[in-house]
Amino acid sequence: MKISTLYLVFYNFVQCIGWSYILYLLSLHLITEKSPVGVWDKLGQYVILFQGAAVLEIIHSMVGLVKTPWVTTFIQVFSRVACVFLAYHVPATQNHFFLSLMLMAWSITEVIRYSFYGLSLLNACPYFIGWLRYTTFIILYPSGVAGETGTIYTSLPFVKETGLFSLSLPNSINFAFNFYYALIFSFVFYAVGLPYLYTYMLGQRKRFISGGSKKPSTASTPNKKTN
Amino acid sequence: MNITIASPRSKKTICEVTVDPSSTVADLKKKFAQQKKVGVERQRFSFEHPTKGMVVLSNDKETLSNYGVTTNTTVLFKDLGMQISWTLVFLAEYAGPLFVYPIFYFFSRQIYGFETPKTFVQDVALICYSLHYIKRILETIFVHRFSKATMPITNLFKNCIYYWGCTSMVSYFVNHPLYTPPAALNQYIGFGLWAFGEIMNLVCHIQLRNLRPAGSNVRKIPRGLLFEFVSCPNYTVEILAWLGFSIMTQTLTSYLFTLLGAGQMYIWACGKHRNYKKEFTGKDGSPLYPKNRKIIIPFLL
Repeated sequence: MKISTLYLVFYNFVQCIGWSYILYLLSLHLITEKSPVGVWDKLGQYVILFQGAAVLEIIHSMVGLVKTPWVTTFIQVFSRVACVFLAYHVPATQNHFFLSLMLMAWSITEVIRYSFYGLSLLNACPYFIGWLRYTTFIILYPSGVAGETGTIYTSLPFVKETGLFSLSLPNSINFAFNFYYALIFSFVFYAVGLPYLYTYMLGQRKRFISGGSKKPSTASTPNKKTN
Repeated sequence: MNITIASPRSKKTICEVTVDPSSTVADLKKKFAQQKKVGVERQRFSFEHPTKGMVVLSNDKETLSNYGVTTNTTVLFKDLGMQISWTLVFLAEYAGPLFVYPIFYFFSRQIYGFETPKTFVQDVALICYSLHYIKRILETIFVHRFSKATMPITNLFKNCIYYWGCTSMVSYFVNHPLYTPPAALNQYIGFGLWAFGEIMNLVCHIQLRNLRPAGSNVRKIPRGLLFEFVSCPNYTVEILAWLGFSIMTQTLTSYLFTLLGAGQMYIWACGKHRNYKKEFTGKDGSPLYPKNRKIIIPFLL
């Protein structure tokens, strides 16, 4: 086995374990406490660690380890990191139902996704994991978007009041940035991105269901051209 | 002789064309245009050469037999899409900045809601930015000799969005009423770099023009001055000019615009450098491309 494949298997394995742990802690909390209060305190650090590590995926596609275009990966990872950034800084989001919804959707998706990638690299992926990968998104994807946009919406008053991550003139680099308006603008991206990605995934699902041999391109399968 | 024209993906036959063995690529394009009603500019032909692999029939004046096309050859046809002239694209993309930049300078009250007296460096920046694009327009009309007449029409939209958009981002902050000018020394260094870059850029463009006789698309090895160090010194000095503008105005968006432009110019320069090396091999009577000549940064890259 090539070093690069070995590395990718290892990466996917670690991520799978990480998100499984997050899913376990989150489920346990919601079952025992029956409330989203305290979720971030309990598992925020793990979310920061493993979602932060996903930045590596941008590098993977930039150097050609995987064949997904790096811009696609960048947009996916960037929007999630932005949500984690908000959860870290804005107390109002931390105990909110939207955050739990977001983390629940993320963690289930990631456990399935990373198992699928890792096992596919070893050519040992059972059919039902592939089926889960191309079926669960039907519910998890809209839930995730609801959780993310909800978290952003919850954070708006705080961001406006404190000027979090904003820069105003005059300053020596002559640049201004208003995070509050950028967040409001992000809703447009979600509104455009959701139907686009949803129909794309439905197409992938069709391909998966219909042809076992012609499996859809996956984000972590090695790139045959560059390797 | 009979040539089969096929589509590159499906390998399905499009049509058969009868041409003279001595006819040129241009003749083939004309024949194909008559049969299939596809304009000559949109056509690109290639074929699988028995020994050389995929060969593109890129030179209109070359004969088919010299390329190795025989009567049994299947030639693949690619439709390049709707075309537009280089000159028109250049004029449209440069006229934008010339129009957009001054809006922020002159309509401060309407755009920012208030006004402060302009500083000296903001006046100079307006002149520099405008002069650059006036120069580019004049060069497009009087200096450049393009090797191809046209490019795909989608480039018009892409390029215009890029130039118009970037100009707005730069001009918005340089002409802001709360703009902070950098130290005087930065302003002088920046302006000096800018002026040097612009003048040398013009010199490079004139050198390139003199390589190519009017009305031809001859390609030669550029010689003299900065061309002795790098393949594309016109890009090197253009990047220097924008770096100078950024230092002079000390604006983040200007640095970003410089970086974006430098990246794009580096990609173009790599392509040109590769083509020079491929064309001037030193074999079969073609001159040898200077071995130590770099791509865009003297002695380094």
